[in-house]
Amino acid sequence: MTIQLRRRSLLLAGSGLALPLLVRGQAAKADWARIEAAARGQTVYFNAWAGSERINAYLQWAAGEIGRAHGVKVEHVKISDTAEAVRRVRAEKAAGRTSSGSADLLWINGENFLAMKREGLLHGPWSEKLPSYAWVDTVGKPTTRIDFSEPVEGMEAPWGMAQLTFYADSARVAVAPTSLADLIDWARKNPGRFTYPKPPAFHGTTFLKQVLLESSSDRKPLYAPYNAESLARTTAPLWAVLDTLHPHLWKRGLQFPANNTVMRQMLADGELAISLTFNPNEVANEIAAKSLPASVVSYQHTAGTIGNTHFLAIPFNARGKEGAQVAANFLLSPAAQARKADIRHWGDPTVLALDKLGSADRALFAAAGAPGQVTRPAPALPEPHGSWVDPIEREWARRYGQG
Amino acid sequence: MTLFALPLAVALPLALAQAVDPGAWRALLADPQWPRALALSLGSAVASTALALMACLVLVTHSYDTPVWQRLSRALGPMLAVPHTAFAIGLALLVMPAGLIARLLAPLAGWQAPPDWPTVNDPFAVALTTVLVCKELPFLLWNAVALLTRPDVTVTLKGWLASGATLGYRRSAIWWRVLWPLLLPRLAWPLLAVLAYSLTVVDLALIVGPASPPTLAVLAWQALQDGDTMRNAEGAAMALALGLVLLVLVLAGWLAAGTLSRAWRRLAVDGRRWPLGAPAGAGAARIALRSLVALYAVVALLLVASSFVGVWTFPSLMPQAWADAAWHQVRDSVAVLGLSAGLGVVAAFAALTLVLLWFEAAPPTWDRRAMPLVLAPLVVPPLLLMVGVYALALPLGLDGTLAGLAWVHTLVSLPYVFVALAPAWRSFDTRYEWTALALGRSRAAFWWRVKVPLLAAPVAAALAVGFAVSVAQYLPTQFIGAGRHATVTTEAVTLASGGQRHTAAAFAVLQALLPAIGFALAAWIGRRQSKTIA
Repeated sequence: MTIQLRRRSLLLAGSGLALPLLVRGQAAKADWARIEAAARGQTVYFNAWAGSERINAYLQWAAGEIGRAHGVKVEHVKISDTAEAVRRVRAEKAAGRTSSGSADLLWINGENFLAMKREGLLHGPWSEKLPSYAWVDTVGKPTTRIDFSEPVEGMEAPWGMAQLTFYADSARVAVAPTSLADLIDWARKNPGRFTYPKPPAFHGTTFLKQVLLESSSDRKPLYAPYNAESLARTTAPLWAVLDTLHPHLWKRGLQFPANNTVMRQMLADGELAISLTFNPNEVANEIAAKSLPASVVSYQHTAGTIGNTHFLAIPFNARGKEGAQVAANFLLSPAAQARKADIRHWGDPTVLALDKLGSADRALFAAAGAPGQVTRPAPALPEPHGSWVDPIEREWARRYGQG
Repeated sequence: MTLFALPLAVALPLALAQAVDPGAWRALLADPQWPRALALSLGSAVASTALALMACLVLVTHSYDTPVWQRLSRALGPMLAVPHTAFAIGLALLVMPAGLIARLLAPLAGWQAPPDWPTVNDPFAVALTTVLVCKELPFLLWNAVALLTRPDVTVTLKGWLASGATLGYRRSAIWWRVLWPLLLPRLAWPLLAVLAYSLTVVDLALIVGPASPPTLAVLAWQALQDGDTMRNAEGAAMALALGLVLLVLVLAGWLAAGTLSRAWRRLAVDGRRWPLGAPAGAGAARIALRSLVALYAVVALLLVASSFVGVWTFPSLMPQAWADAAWHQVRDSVAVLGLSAGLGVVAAFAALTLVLLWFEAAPPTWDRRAMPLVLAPLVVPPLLLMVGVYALALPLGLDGTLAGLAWVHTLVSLPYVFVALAPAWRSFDTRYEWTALALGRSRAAFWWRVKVPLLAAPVAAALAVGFAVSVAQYLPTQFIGAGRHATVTTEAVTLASGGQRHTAAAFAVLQALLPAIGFALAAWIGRRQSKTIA
């Protein structure tokens, strides 16, 4: 109570300085009240990947809270791949279904967002007008505004953070290699115990980008659109590293696993000693679920690893656009974000800036660490410009894809 | 028929329009992986179909009308009910480098880490071919049994076998010289389905198939999954290439069958008694069948066991940690069994009705003309097909409705029901009909009192196949149901996308449950029928 009072008085003190801002703020408040009123009674079909029991349980909890507080019914539509929902919306647009579409809220990022934005399949801009958006860490986490080098422009709301994270079984890896050079060294001494998913599998391509960033002396060209002339020069360090690394990989680098979940299983079985993931808390989750031995540790390369953000988007033809915004606003609230960040519930890092929160809200995030979590987080490196992905994947396939 | 043909007529041009993009073909031809990927697809599909067929013929030759035959029809149901992916996972658990066999050998060989075995994901697709043979053999046997247990066929067969025996031919010689040349053409449809399936299968190839490069079907699927529409077009081009390959194979097979059957017929009447058919033949068939059943049993046991496994590090024989989380998930999903079963029953009976109408109204020569339509849903990637079907469902307002779901499930089950029923229905002896009509019975009376009872076994078998196909549908259920109607398969696939082996294993049991009941019922009806008439 006192905290709320104090915040309000601070706001009042500042209001004299920024009267126009306040007027705009009041208009926004009225807008939001209208949205909340319209949302009441709507059903929101939330199309979200459902491959994790914990995530599904979290969404069930959130649906209960949203229903109680705002009268919006949230239904989790379980899908195995976001591209399914994208395809459905695309087909709806082609068939002229411009209202009452099948999806109201999507869990999305990267390529799927890019495709939907370019094809006009998204509703918006809306996300920056959410009351909860004020707490988003747009400065410290620039990927909340740029999704794989595509400006978000209010067409989706940041929901959670991801960062390339390696993990190793400490029973078999005494000192985790925290740089590319150390990793190559380790692989040389431990042949056949590390590999990466075969590009274009998402984690495999990300590993290539990580190698490229770590081995390039000049990263600047990678953040500009790719051009054919500089391709060979810019990517030369990547191929040099891979030529050195591959003979020491699993199956001597002649075969690659299909994806990173296969690699996690291979590490659990003891076939691999080092693997990789995009969720810094995945290992802690898996240890808690008894799917990985407690001796597995997570770590990041100290100079930084590739990071990105995942988002919530509303299709252009959603039936419950207001309900979807109310749901997204709740999912961005400190209470929901704190529960999501809590390793006991999901363990997905927050998009909020903790220093923007009041101390009570901030305290929600002070959950104890869990075995397997990253202990020394490294800086997140932005993704290289998206246009590099395709040429790199094609060149990889030409060089190494034929076994 | 329109209900069946129209969606395809809408969906196929949509798929084709993407597939004929010249840019997509340029990109495809520039991809260095594709010749090898095509070779892998072709090799595994042809080899697995041929091996499964050979095994099927040998097993039937040596087990027909022996005690093994009775057991065979009972054993097939459970084998067919095991989902393809579950079988692949289970077999991998047995033979992979960190699998049970390697763990058993580890103390002897002194392995501390899994050996470098090429037993799964091998570059030559041997593992994929093996899994395909193991899964397709029961399907071919199921169709052969459905054909051969028809009472009228039984009578004819026994007649042939008896007269052959009096001429001094051994049973196996009669099969190879007389019966197979007559019966084999009737298995053409199921064989075609097996070939089409092996050529285009994605999920199995992802689990046990080669990875660098994968099969062409996997490459196509990856490109179709992509968010980029240009890559989608490339995937459509690859899918079209696979379709063309199938067409070439079918034509080649058809030509070869013509030549072969002439040569075969000459050989059959050369008067010699070869093959003598060693008495060991029956014994070998028994052993082969037992091995197959044993393999399925081991695979099933491993699957069930692994659904409880938490951490299990090599080379330990026992898991370090057990977990029952997967079964909690299964318990939460049991409620969807009802919808899955209901949809399956409706789809199987609707597909049967449509197929019977076709069989009764269209002369057999039209079957060949219907072939592209029947085969298309088996070959066109579901991702492409469903976009087309969804485009049709939207203006009709069928999306998200149970009626829409029933319709699309019928659509996908129909080709399999057709394929499963065609051998028996099309070879029905028309003299029965003439006799009935000559005795003054109406056509309807003949149909209900003679034809349907005589064909009860194949009808039940085809229904079971259609039911199982409906239960296994993922993409059609998600698309037309707009993700709002959960079935055992949507639950299994979405939860399995997290890559947890114990979840996949536990859900395989749930997925196998309904088809197992269906196949058991069908086998029971078949046996009862052949007993009443014999």
